[in-house]
Amino acid sequence: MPDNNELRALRHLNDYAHALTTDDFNDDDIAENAFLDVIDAVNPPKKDELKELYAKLKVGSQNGSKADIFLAYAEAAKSFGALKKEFELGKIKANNAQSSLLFPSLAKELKSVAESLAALKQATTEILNDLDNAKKALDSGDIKKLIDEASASKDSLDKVIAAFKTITTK
Amino acid sequence: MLKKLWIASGTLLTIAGCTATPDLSKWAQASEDIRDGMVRSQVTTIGKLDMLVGAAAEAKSQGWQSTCGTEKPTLLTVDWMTAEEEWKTDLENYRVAAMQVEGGLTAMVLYAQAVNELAVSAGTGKEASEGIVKSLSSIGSTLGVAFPTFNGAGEIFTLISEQWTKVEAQNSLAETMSAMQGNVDNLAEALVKQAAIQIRIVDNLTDKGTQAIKGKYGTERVCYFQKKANQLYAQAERPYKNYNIADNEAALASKPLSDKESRELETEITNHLVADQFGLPIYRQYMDEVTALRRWENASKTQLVSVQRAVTEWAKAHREVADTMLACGGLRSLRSKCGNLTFDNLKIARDRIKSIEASFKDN
Repeated sequence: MPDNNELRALRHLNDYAHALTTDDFNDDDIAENAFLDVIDAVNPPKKDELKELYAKLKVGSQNGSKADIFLAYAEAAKSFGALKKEFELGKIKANNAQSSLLFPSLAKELKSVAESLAALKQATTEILNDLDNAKKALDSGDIKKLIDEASASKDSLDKVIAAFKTITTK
Repeated sequence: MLKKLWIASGTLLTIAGCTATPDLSKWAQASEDIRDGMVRSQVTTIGKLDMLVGAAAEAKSQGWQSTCGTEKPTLLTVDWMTAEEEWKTDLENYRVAAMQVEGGLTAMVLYAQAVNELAVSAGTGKEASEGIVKSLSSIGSTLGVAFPTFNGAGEIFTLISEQWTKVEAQNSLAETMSAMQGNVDNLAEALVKQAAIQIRIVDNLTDKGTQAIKGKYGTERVCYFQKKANQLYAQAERPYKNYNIADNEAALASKPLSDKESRELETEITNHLVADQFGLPIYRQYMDEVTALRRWENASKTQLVSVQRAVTEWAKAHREVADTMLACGGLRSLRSKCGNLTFDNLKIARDRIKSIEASFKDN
């Protein structure tokens, strides 16, 4: 006839087996610790049987032998080596994009280039003329066509940026 | 061609700022928290493994028992004769893996910081323009260059630079973040997997640690006390109670205990005093250490689950920003689906153009 400790160990082991099927590790640990706290009080041969069952449950839940997890960790960690390179490139791309923003860049360059005064005047005059055309387009209802044309492609943006950049090289 | 593009830019710039550039500072901070959470877990793991290697060396030299009594070993039983070498190998492998994980996560943090700085720089156009205008005034003044329309040009320049910097930054954000989204998703997936294995490692270390604590206090002794755990208090109390009853009864009967009776009770008390003074404290110390280890286990697993959840949200936020910038960032903010092509926006555009024109007429 099973004694009290044996019944308690069996109940906790049953809870543990059930908890392994849930996502909450807390359930596993509570049942597991309760089992471990009582198992040494169970008399053999039942103690060996229950411990063996517990070990099989635990190792089975981890899909491998007890030593595999460190190898699994090392194997999985390799992907971080490749990702490191990709993120370093991403950082360079973001930094380059930031440092080549036109107006902050212009601010740096124009501070030391007196000749840019003429370039700036010429650019602003051209902008004024173009804005005048834009205003006419807006008033005449052509604005949507204008907007669609400009916003449709990334190529346009690059060309506009390139056009702005000519200011500094004039 | 140039003229046509200038027209487009001049008009669009006034409207393009309608899509707000996202504040990525908290997102960048979250990436640091994710990295730090994982690194902390790895550091404590290395500490535990290091301690276990030391315990295993002690176990081998002192001949710790792996099992209690006639108990048969299981798949989880530690063999103290071979544990030191096995755990040393685990520690070495883990150190290398931990460095790889930390390296990848640090690169991720630096990327996040760079993206955040790029987003912040979207708002630096006006400031940059003011810098240019100021320096040009200074240069013009120094060189004595006549520049009658300068004030008007300054206004235009400020307007354009404010909007255009935003356009450029938003487009760069769209380009950079979209290009990186695959890597961001891969990193999130890799970290969720890595943290899941780490949770199993924490579990494994708790098992090993418990056996090491048991070995330190004596496997057989702990096993004995565990069997007796529920009776120890009653056992310790019993001889005192027996003595007190006998003494009381003797007093009531006005008949002192015989020397033999006194000696027997005192011997029983002495025996239990030994257990009380030496046995129970050892078992309590063992239980305290096991409890502390379990507390560490729970805290570590909770933290790792948080890392898993956080990195999933982190990648999702990156995707949302990348998608938003790609769909409505920069010049694309004018697309009707972005909700910016409204009558009010067109009116603002017209008003701004008028004000620019007026500023030039004044000069």
